[in-house]
Amino acid sequence: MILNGIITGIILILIGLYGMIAKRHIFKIILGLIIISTGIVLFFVSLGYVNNGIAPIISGDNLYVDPLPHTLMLTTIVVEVCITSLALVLALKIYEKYKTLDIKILEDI
Amino acid sequence: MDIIFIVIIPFFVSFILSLMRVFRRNIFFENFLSITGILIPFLVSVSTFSAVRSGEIITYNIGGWSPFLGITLKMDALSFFFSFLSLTLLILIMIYSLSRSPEYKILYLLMTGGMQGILLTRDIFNMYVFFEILSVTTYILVVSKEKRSYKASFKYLTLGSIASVLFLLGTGIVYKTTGVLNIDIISSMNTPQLKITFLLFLTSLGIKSGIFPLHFWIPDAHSIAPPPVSAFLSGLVLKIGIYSMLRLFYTVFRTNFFEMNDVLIALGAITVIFGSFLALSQKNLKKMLAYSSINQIGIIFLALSFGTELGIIGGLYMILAHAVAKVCLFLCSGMIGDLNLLNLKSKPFVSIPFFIGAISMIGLPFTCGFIGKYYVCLAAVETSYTLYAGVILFTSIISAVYLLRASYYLFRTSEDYKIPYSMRIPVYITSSLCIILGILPLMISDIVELAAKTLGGIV
Repeated sequence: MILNGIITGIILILIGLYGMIAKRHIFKIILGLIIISTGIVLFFVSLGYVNNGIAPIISGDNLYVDPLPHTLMLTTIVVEVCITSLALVLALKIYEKYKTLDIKILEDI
Repeated sequence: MDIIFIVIIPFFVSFILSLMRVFRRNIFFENFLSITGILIPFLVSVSTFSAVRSGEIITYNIGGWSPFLGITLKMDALSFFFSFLSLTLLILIMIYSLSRSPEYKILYLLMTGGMQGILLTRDIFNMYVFFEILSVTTYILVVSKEKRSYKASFKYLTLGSIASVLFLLGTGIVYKTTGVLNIDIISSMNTPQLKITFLLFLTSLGIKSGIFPLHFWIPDAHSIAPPPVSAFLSGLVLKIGIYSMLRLFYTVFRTNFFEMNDVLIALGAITVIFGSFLALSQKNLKKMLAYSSINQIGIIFLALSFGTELGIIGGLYMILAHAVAKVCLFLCSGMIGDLNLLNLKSKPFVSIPFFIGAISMIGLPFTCGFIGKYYVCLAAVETSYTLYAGVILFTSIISAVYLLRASYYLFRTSEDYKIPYSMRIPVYITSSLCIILGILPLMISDIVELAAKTLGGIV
């Protein structure tokens, strides 16, 4: 189970990276960014997973999941929201100035 | 005062500045606040000097948690070197740009806090968060009235966020392997199996500091940004990437780092040659300066990859020399009207500081850059990589060609134009620092040697 979460996370990161590298449209590049951050969150959350673990309230000798990666991901989600919104604002501004969102055309101007 | 104030005072002041936007604008109070927001951290950093010089490491545990659970801030010789250097230059750049909008100052202070946070923290995830604060603010600061700046900022954002994702992925693997995030504790465990993680961190920090195959965002972002922004982007933000490399590679990834020594040295050498030849072919002054910082970053990376104590000393001197000289040159470029190389014209109060900064970048004797290049070449000869000493000396000639050509054009005087003294004084101070540090390097040699000793070379 844990392996699945980690591997899916890494596959998502790779899909996102492919999108950022191969796509010409600025909005698709931003979508790639969002997919990467989702992959990272999935990857980290799976790191803390313990088979048959319970919520991390320590009482006796119970197995409990590692809470630290989850708390780290709260911070990462906030950061990713900031970056995504900034990227969208920049995309809007670029469209306002150049009337296009195509990277290939933008490079030649 | 505790060292935590170095990090939180800039954040706090920028918060107050943003609250003040509600009221009518009071320029004097705004300028006063934005200067003190950097001056107080500077004074706190100076107050730790005597303790740091005697080899003490000042520790602060946030919230009183133990290093296993909480975040630890530590001030040792390396952190002190970077923190003192960056805060000095940040105050000068702030004085230079006092006439800018309040939004600029708010973002600038946020950036200061993020930068100091990276320098002091010993928690990898915390380092990532501060890196994000630093990067997000610089993405915004790159944007100016110019149309092309939006494109440059977007390019910077795309690459910067890929870099931080790779950093985070590396952090995840480190956490899975060791179970802690504290750099000191991880480095006390012997973990040679973190090879892939090392490559992730190398790529991520390579993008942030502009090592050869990953440098292509630098010329755009650095040449289109407003002059004070290019000054700190080129002079300081690139160095923060180098700092994290030093901190992580010499401790956590020690074995992996020394295994790949030869590759990294070659990468550094390619960066040096590439940067200097492209700088030679530029027709715009700021673009030329941006490519020349790729060249200098290459020398720094080369020096640090030798892995000996002498190499680290040379690298730190180069970092100092390049930061001071590049800030001086970019601030000068802000006082020139037409940036096309053939149309350059200025007054003597611009051209003389520019000339001093240029000879420090080239590395002529009696300047700060000379000491740096001297130690780097010495380290190259000592580790029998004599070829690379030749590369550095050869590119020094090329940088002499393009920098002296630019300063030759600059000596043509133009008609009167008014520059306020708040913009002139930082330029005078940085250019005289280039000379003073070149003649009296003893002022900082203690700290530099101590920093090199704490990291340690190949044993």
